[in-house]
Amino acid sequence: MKKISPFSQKMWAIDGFIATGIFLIVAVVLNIFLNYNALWKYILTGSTYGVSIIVLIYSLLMPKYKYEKFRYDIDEEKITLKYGVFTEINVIIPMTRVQYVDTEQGIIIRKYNLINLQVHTAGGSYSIPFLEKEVGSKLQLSITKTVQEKNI
Amino acid sequence: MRELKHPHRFIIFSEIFLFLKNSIFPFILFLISIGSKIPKKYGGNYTEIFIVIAFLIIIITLAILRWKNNVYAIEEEGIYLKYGVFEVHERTLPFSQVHSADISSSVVQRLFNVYKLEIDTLGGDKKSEVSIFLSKGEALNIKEIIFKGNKMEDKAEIIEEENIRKFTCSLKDLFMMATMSTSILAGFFIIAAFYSKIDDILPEEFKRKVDMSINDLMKDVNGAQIIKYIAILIFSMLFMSWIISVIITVIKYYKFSVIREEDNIKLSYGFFDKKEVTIPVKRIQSLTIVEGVIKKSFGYFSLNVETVGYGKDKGESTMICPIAKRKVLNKFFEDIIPEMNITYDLMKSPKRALIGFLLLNLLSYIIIMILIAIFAPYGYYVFLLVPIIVFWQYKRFVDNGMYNGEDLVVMRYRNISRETVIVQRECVQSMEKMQNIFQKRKAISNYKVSIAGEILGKSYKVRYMDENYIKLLSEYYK
Repeated sequence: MKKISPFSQKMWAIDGFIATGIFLIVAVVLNIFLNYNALWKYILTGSTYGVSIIVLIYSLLMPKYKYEKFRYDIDEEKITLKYGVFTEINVIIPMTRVQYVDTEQGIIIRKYNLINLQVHTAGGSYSIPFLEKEVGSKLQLSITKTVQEKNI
Repeated sequence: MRELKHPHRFIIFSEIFLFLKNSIFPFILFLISIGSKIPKKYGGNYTEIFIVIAFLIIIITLAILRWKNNVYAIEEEGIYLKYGVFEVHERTLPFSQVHSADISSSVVQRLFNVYKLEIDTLGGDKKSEVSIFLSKGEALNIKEIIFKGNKMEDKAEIIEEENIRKFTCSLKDLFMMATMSTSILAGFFIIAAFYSKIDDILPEEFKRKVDMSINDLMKDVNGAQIIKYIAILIFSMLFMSWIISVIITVIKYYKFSVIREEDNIKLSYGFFDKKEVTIPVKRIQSLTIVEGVIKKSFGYFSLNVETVGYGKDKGESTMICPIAKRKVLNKFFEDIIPEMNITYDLMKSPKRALIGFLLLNLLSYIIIMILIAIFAPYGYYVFLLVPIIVFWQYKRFVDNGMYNGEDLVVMRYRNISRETVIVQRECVQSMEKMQNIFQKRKAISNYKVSIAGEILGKSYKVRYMDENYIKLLSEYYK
C-alpha cells in the first residue's frame, strides 16, 4: 500500500484554517449586527464561535492521523483505497469498472506541486488527494492504459 | 509525447455569448445601482462606460484564456482533455468505456463549419463527459478512431429462437395489493382531513342550527351509543378509502403483463392510458425483492429492477412485478429473468454485533423520546413504545444478510419492508467496507456496494456483518 504526499498534512490544515476563517467571519458579523434581546441570538453566536474553535482544533490535530491512515494501491485488477480515522473505510474498485480518470489542481496545491486524482465509475467517483504531480500524472496514464487493455 | 490540439476557436465566441446572455440582467441592475453613487470628481459621468469596457475586457480575456488552456489529445489508450484557468483539470477517458459519441451542430455553428462532439459513458452525470467544438473533419475522424478500438457489442448479439414467456397479474392479485397497500391509511387521513375542512367551509348560521339540533338529539343519547357512532364513522371512512384504493390500483395496473423477448423485458399495463415499457436485460443493474410488512404475512412479494441510462436517457427504478405469491415468483424468475435465478446462502450478522447495532440504532430514538418526555404534556408515556422499538430493531438485525458468490452479490436488509437486492458481479462498480472504532474492536464492519446510477450512483448497504467478509471480495479481484 502506498501513501500520499506528506504535504497533504499542510494542505488539510490550510483547508481547516480557511473553514475556521469563514466561521469566524460569520460569527463576528453576527456578533456585530445582532442586538441581543433574545436567548436564541446568544446561542446562535456562541455556537458559531464554538464551531470555529472546534474546526480550528480539528485542523490542527487531525491532518497527521488522516495522512497516516490514507493508503492506496493500484494493480492490474483493482484499485484499493483505505482511509478514515474514526471510521475506517476500505474501497475496492475493479479496473474494468473505471470509466475515466480526472486530475485537478487548485491554486494552493499548485504551489506545492501536488495534484488531486479522481477515479470515476458509473456509480460515483472516488478521489485520491494530494499526490506528487509526477506520481499522479503517471497513475492517471497507467490506469487509463490498464482499463483500455482490460476491456478489449 | 502528447500531440496537443486546441479545440475550434468558435468556443471563444460561444462562451462570450453565453456568458453575456446569462449575466446581462444582473449586470444592468448592478450598473443602475452603482452609477449614480460615484461623485463627478472621479469621472462619475463615465463610470458606466468604464465598467462596461472593463467587464467586456475581463470576459474576453477569460474566454481566450480558457480556449488557450483547453487542449485535447487522441492517444492509443483514449482521449486526453485538459481545461480550466484557475483550477487545472485533466481527464483521460479510455475508448473502451465510451458508450456513445454524438456529433451535432446548430445553424450558427454550421456557418463556421464547427461541430460539437459529445462523448458519453454509461450512467454517471447527465452532462456529457467530454464535449468539444471541432471542425467537421476532425470530429468525424475522432469518432471513427473511437469506434475502431471499441468493438461494437451489438454485432455480437446472437438472436435466439422465438420463445415468448409471459407473466400476468390477475385481478384478484391486484385486489389483494390494493387491500394491503398503505394508501388505505393515507386515504383515511385524506378523508379525515377533508371532514375537518368542512367545518371551516360551512357558514356560521348553518353550524349553529346543526349544533342546536344535535344537542336536542343528544339529550337522550348515552355514551355507549356515541362510541358506536364514532366506530361506524371510522369504519365507513376506512371502507371508502379501501374502495378508492382498489379503484386506483386497478386502473393503474390493469392487465399488468410481463413478456420476455430475447434481450428485452416488456411491461404493459393500465386501464385508460396503456403504458408500455421496454427494459433491455443488459441494462438491468440490480433486482430488488420487496417484502412489505403486511404483504409478507400474506405471502406476497413485489419486484423492482434498477436500470442504467446513458447520455440523455435517464436510468430509473421500475417495478416489474407489482405483486405475486412466492410460488409464482419462482416461476417468474425461471421464465422472465433466468439470469437472476439463483440459490444462495445468506451470511448473517454475527451475534456479537447485536449489542452495538441495538445501541447505535436506539440512541436517536432515545434522544427524541427524552425530548418528548420533557417538553410534551404526558410525554413520558412515549416510553411505552420502547419494547416495540427494541423488537423492531432486533428484527432488522436478524434480517441482515449478505451473500458473495462468483457471479452475484446478494444483500438483504430491512428498513420498513425487507429488501433483498441481487446484483450481478459485472454490475458492481465499487465495494466499500466501513468500520468505526467500536466495530473494529469486535471485528465487525459495514459493507456498501455501488451500482451505476444517477450522478451519485446507487448504493446498497448492509450493516454489522463479519469483518473477514471483505477478504473474500478482494480475493475475487486477484
